[in-house]
This record gives sequence, C-alpha cells and structure tokens, in this order.
Amino acid sequence: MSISTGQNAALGDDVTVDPALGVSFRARFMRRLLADKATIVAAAFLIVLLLLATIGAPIAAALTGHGPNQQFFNGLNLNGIPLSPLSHEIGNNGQPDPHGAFFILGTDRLGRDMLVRLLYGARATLAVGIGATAVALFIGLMLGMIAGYFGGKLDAVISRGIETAMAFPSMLFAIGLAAVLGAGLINSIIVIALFSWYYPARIVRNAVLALRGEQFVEAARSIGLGHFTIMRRHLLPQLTAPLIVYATGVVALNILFEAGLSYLGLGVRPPTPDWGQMIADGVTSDLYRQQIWVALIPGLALVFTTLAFNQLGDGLRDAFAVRGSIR
Amino acid sequence: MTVEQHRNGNPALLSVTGLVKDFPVGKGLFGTRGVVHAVQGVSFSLSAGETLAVVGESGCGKSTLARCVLRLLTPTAGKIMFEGIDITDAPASQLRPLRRDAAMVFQDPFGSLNPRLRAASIVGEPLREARAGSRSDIEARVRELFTEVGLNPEHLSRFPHEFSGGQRQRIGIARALALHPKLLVCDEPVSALDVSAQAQILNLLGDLRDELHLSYLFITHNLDIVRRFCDRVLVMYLGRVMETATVTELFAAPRHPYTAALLAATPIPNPRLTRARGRTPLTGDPPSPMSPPTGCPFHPRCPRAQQRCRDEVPPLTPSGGSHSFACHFPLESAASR
Amino acid sequence: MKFVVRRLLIAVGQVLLVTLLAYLLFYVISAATGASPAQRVAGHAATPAQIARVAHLLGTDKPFYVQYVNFLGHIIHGNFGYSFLQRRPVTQIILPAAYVSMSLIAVSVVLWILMAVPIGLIAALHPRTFTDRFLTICAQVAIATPVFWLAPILSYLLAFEPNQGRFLGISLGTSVNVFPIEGWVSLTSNPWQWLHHLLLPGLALALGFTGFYARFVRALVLEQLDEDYVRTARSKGAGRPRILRAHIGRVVAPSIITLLGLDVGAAIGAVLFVELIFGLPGLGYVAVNSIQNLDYPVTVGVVTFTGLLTVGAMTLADLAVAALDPRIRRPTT
Repeated sequence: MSISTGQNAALGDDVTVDPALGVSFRARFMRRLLADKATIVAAAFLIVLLLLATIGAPIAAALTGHGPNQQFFNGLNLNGIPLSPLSHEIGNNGQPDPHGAFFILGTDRLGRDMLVRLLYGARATLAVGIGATAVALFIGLMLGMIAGYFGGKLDAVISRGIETAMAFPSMLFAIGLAAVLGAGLINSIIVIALFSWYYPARIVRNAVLALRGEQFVEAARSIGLGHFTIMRRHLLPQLTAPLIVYATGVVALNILFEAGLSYLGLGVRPPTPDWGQMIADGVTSDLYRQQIWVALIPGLALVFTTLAFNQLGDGLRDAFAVRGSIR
Repeated sequence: MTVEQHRNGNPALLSVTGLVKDFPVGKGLFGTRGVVHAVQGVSFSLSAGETLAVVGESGCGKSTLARCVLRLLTPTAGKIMFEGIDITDAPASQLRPLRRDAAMVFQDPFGSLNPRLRAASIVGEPLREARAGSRSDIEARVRELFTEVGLNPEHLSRFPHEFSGGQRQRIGIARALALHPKLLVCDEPVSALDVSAQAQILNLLGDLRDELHLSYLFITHNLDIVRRFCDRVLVMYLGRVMETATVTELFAAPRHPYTAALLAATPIPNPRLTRARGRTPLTGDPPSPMSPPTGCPFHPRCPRAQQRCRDEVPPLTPSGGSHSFACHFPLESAASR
Repeated sequence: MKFVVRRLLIAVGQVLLVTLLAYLLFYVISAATGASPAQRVAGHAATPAQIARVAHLLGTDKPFYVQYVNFLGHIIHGNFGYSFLQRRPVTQIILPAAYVSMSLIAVSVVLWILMAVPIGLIAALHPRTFTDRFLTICAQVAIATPVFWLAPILSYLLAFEPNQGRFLGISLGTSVNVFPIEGWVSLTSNPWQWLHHLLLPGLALALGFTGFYARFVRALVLEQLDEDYVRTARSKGAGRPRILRAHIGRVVAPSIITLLGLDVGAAIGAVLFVELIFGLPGLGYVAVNSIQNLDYPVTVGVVTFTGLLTVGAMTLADLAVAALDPRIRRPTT
C-alpha cells in the first residue's frame, strides 16, 4: 500500500479528526454506540471470548477432564480418523462407548479434545494479535507524531519509509524473518509488529499534520510550551479516538496474520494450541477431506473473531464520527 | 531603513529592523522549488502604551509579521528587539521574558482554544508553564482573569464549545493576560465575530489597555477599527511597508496611492459622501508573494505608476515627524492640499 | 513529465530498499543464526575449515556490501542467482513459478472486480435496504475469512465432495466434476483446462478482496452520489445509468486502479496459501519450500522478484491514474 501523490483524498485515507468535544461528547458517543446493535453483539462476543480464553479454558478442561494436549488413543476411529463433534470415544468393539469420554467438538488429528484446544488456542491468537498490535501502535504513534509535527525533512524521510515498507511483500518477508528467527510467541509478536506499524503511523501522521495548523497549537507555542509537551497535552488526546478505531482494525488483520504464520508452522511452538496451527493440522495430508470438522471449527472461530473486531471497529468509528479508513 | 525611537519620550518596547521572512514552498525531488517572500524588509517600532495597527490585504504579510515578532516563526533576516533584548535568533531558553511580557490574541475563537480542555485549564496554562505559584495561587489568578475579561467565574469548568464566539475570544484574551504582559499582539481578533460581539471585544480591549497600560500590535484589515482604536498605522503590501503614520495623519492625507485606494474602498454609509469622493479604483488582485513584481510591488495596480516604479524599489521616506511613505510619486501632502 | 520521472525514481529507491533488506535478511541474519549457504552446501558434518573453503568457493566470504553490489549487478542482467541446492540458476526456478502465480492472480483479479463492482453498486444504489445490509454482511464475512482456510473448505465443498458424489453431506448419486481438485495446466498446452484449473483457486483468493472492494465501491459511490456535481447532472435531466457511467465511473475507476496496484503485494502474500492447497507450483510455493530447505538464494530471488513486481505494479497504477486524472500531473505543494 503506498501513498501516491494526490490520491489520498480519493482513497479516503486522509483522516480528518474534528477536534473532539468535551463532556457532552462522551454522552453522545455512548448513545450512538448503544444504539448500534451489531457493534454491541460484537463487543459482547469479544468479551466472552476473552473470558473463555482466560478462565473458560481451564474450566472446560476441568469439567471435561481433558487437557489441551492430552491425546486420546480412542479419540480416533478405527481408520485413524478424528471424531466428529458430539461423539463418544471409540470403545474396544469399534463402536462409540457411551460411558467413555465425550467430545463436544470432536477430536483432532492426534485424538485431542477439540473444544479444550479451541479455548486454549484462543489465548495464543489473542495474545499475539493484541500484543503485536500494541507494539505496532506504539511504534506507529511515535513515528507518525514526529513526522506530522516536525514536518520537513523528518517527515519526508519517515513518509518515504512508510511507503516503502508498505511496498514490501510483507507475507514473504515475515515468513522469511520468522523462519530465520525461529518460531515462538515473542518472535511472532515482533515479526507481526514489524509488518503492521505503518498503518497507525500513517493515520497518526495525517491526523497530526491536520491538527498542527490549528490555532490552539500555535497558542500553546506562544505560551512557550515545548514540542513534546504540546504533543503530549494537546495532540495526543485528539488522537485517541482514531487510534482506538484503527487499533481494532489492525488487531483483526494481525489475528489473520498470526494464523497464517502458525499455519506455516512459524507461530507459537507446538504443542501449544493455536487456531492457525489447528487449521494446518486439518489441512495437511488432506485430512479435511475425511473429517472436515478438524479444519472447519478453528476456521469458524477465526472468522467470527475477526468479524467481531472489524464490526467493533466500524461501530466505534461511527460512534466517534471519525472519517477515513485504514487503507 | 530608519528606526523610530524615543517617540513621546518613551524608549521603544519593540523595535523591528529590516525584517525578512521567506518560506520555502513546493515539492521538488530534492527539496523545494520556490520561495514565498512573505515579509521583505519591514521596520518599525512600538513604544510602551502605544497601539500600532498593521493593515493590508490578505497575503500582505501582516500575520507573518505578527508571528515573527512573537518568535512563533524565526526571521530569515533582520532584527527584532523586545525590551532592549535581541530576540531575533535567541534559542527557546532565552525567550522567557518574551513569553512573559508579550502574548498573542488569535483570530479564530473556535480554533484557538483546545476543545478538550476546560476554560480554567486554558487560561491557567501559561501560569502553570511559568510555574507562577501554587495550585491555589494559580486558581485565584485564573478567577481574577476571568472576571477581568467580563466572564462569570462559575463557568470556569466549562468547555469551549459551551461558550459563544465572543466569550471564547474573551477566554483567549484572559489567557493572553495571564502573565501580566506589556504587549499584546492581536491578529485580527474580531474579524471572526459578529458585529455586536466585535464592539464588545473592542471595548474590552480598550478598557484593558487603559487599566493595564498595555501596548498593542493590532493586525486588521478593517480601517474603521483602525480609526477608532489605534494610535498609529503601518500599511503593508506584498511584504513591504507602504506607509506609516499616525491615524489622524493617515486618514486626513494619505501619501501613498495604495493607502488612498484602501481608504476609498472602505464603504461609508452615506451615499452622498460616497459619490463625492469619487473612484480610485483598485483593480485586480494582488500578485502572488512567490513572484513579486520588480521595483515597487504596487506598480502593476497603481494608477500613478511610471517606468521608475518598475525599476526601483522606493525607499521608506520620512516626511515630517511620524509620517513615512515608500513611493516615487506620492500623493500631495496635507500641507499642499 | 516531471511527475513521471519523480515517480520512477521513487520506484527505483523502493526496489533498492527491498533488495537490500532481502539480502540482509537471508545472508546476514541467517549467517548469524548459523544457517548460511556455505553451511548448507557443506553439509552437517563439515568442519569450520571446510565451511570456510566452501564459502570461499561460493564467494560468500566476501564482505557483505561487495556481495550485494554484485547481486544488484546480476539482477540488472536478469540473473537472480544460483541455487546450490537445486544446482540450477534461480531465474530458471522463478520464471515458470511466476508464470503460474501471475495466471492465478490475473484470474483472481478479474473475478473479484467482476463480483465486487456490481455488488458495491447495488448496495450503494439501495442504501440501508435489506439487500444492502445483506451484501454488507457478506462482504464483512468475506473480509474476515482467512484464505488458507477458505481454500480447503471451498476445495472440499465444490471439488472434492461433488467428486465423491456428495454435497454438504447429501448424496448426489453420481460424481459431479465441476472443479478439478488440484493441479496446474499451462495456458499454452490447453487454454480451457488452464482456466478450469484456476477457477476455484482464483475464487478462493478473490473472495476476501471482493469483500474489501465491494465495501470500497459502495462507500465511494455513496459519497459521490451526494456530491454537488451529481445533483447538477440530475437536475439537468441525466438519467441514472448515464450518471453512473460518465461521472461516477470516472471517479471510481482510477481509485480502483490505484487500489489494485497496492493490492498486488497483498495478493502475492495470500497467493502462497492458495498455491499450497491447490498444488499450484507458483512463487509462493517455491518461496516456502526454499525457506524450509534453507535454499536461500532462491528465497532472496523470489523476494526480490516479488518486490520488483509489487513496486512495478504500484508504479504502473500510479502512472495510469495520473494519465487519467489531469490534476495529479502537476506537482502540488
């Protein structure tokens, strides 16, 4: 994605931040937000997901008595195919054993409980997705602020950097970097942050550029406030609204990014459950052709989670009345 | 370029000599491809207690001048002395006296206040920045300022959008007065207000001037205000001073054709007088400050222009006392009319 | 003209940066982590002295910047290096793979434009109706769906199951072969089969982008419909189709072209997964294999090539739009 001269307006990527208003603004914001049912649903879903990932997973493990990495020999049928949802483990006679273990969402390639794995997998997905976004936001905020505020050569350099970074085939580079650095949680966060900082950077830069000309900034300078004080006290509060909106969008992107990396085996190390990895498990050696659920379930989880984040972002954007999109 | 000093006995509070400010503009591949000569060699001085108006059309450089004086911009060339200190290139650390003793009132009552801060924070910010006392000291001073500009201190906890335009401008004035300045630079402080608010703010500024012995550098394009409110006038065009005089002198007998045209263009409500004064048409638009005309910048629009005007920049020539003009073929002086 | 020159220079700069980083990544960092080409070629049991000798033979013991400059020089002549693992020039590996990937992307782009524009238009022309909401939700779901999951699901539903005589678990009686399950046929050998084998992968790749573009088109058209110039045209009696075509089309088309330029890079990233699922020997496939086999010359070659392609696509898009929009041609402040 590049910034082409003069095309910003057509692409809608100039973020105009109307300097947001004070107290009554918050009331209006809440009213708009609460009226938007789709966003409420999305937010509720995400809260539930967060709860499930943190405390729901161990609870499920305790209730069913299955661990996330516990392999059930009888969790596969006689042909070695994982079980469908709502199945009992296979007894010695080759038939489902009604007194045996019960798998609400079936089993995976190694006979592990899909439900428990799914819940634990949410941890990796959310941790990396949100973690990488936080890092990316931090980097992007710093660079965008500096570029937009100081302008001139500094801005030129940073903007060129952003454009060029966007020109990279990021997936390939990310894969290469991950392969060279090795898999793992922290590495994933680093890699993904490295390839998503430019979204917030561009947004922040445009917003700061627009705000810099406002007279209250000039007034602050006339009082003698230093540059960083102005950035902190006068500019940053105006940025929180668009940043929150784009944060959700970037989280959605990064969740898919992380899933993609784990799909290729470059995410969190197995046997830690991870949705991307679970999909990969279901797809390699064409397992999905014999048991579609192994790939279907984690995929659906990904779709709903990403959908929820996107919808939340859209709803927040409407509630904040921020214009512009992440592209 | 003469510098007027020691008029009415007082030393100059502010003296500007040969101020030049250029802006690089445009986007070349390796830098910029053009220069806007916003201010080209302006000199004047301002004594304590004086109100100097700076008038001119849009783009003449008056706002740039104001910002240079307050060091919101750094001059390209020239010298600015404030209270005897050279502030032209001084680094931020040495500008404390300037920040304390001079303040700016901005044009846009909507944009000059941070919409997310309460009025109390806005007015108190200069005090906090200068560490002018404890929290309660600052609070007390903020209340004092609020009352001084005619606002109700009970509204201190409100946000800017809860005030009217005129009230917002009062808040801006209160903020400017926070550190007991000696000089207020007002950049078109009433242009964005409706007529009744204009009158009120002007009255307020006048009262403050008397009570607090303030000097004003008053940027405006409204000659009525100049006549009623200011002591002296500086007429600018395309970055240069065309004429400077006391208000009485200027309105009675302008020497520069541009000034005369400006005066003639000001609508007066009396149709007979309007007809009587005839037409000194000011045709066309001012040229772009990026490529100013050679010689006298006004010559393309001047009805009195000659070859010499195209070739030579007319210097600012004093003519008796406080009246100076920059013209090769000035209008008749008051004496000869 | 100045704009063109300027844009090309920027492109050159981007290419340089891409190649530099690719080189940096795979030679410098890999050497630091102990997976340099010399080590790979020399094998696991090689002693450091042997590795050093191999490095000398390969020329990888020269200073980094010397190698990089040589590399750049080779690129200009179309030589992307040599794969020690496969014992053939990288270019030989890349070009056929590029052919496959390009075909896939081309088919995909056509599909997604053909789908997104009408969907976006319909949604924009009937805003806030049930149709609009439905289409918007579809678009949102499409955006949220990961390609590497959609591909096998689609493959299962539309290729594998019908092949087995089922659809969604319901028996169909006979085997229905609408889409081939996998494989690649080149254009030159059998054009119809070429297309046939690319339809399903192309669709998998296209759906996500369709969602994006449909939303974009919808937003853009809605915005334009509100603009004054449309109202003026309406008041002069222009009918809606004409307005759409002559006026709004003129705004929407360049925006789409620019987006396409940007998205080639994203497409190349996604194409990887599709190639893996459908067994198409494209660039993504080659790249992933080369990383897993530590065949870094190939990796750098692919990344460089892809980077060049992406930069090229973006530059072309910008230039094309500039040609269409007279406002852009003159440098603005």
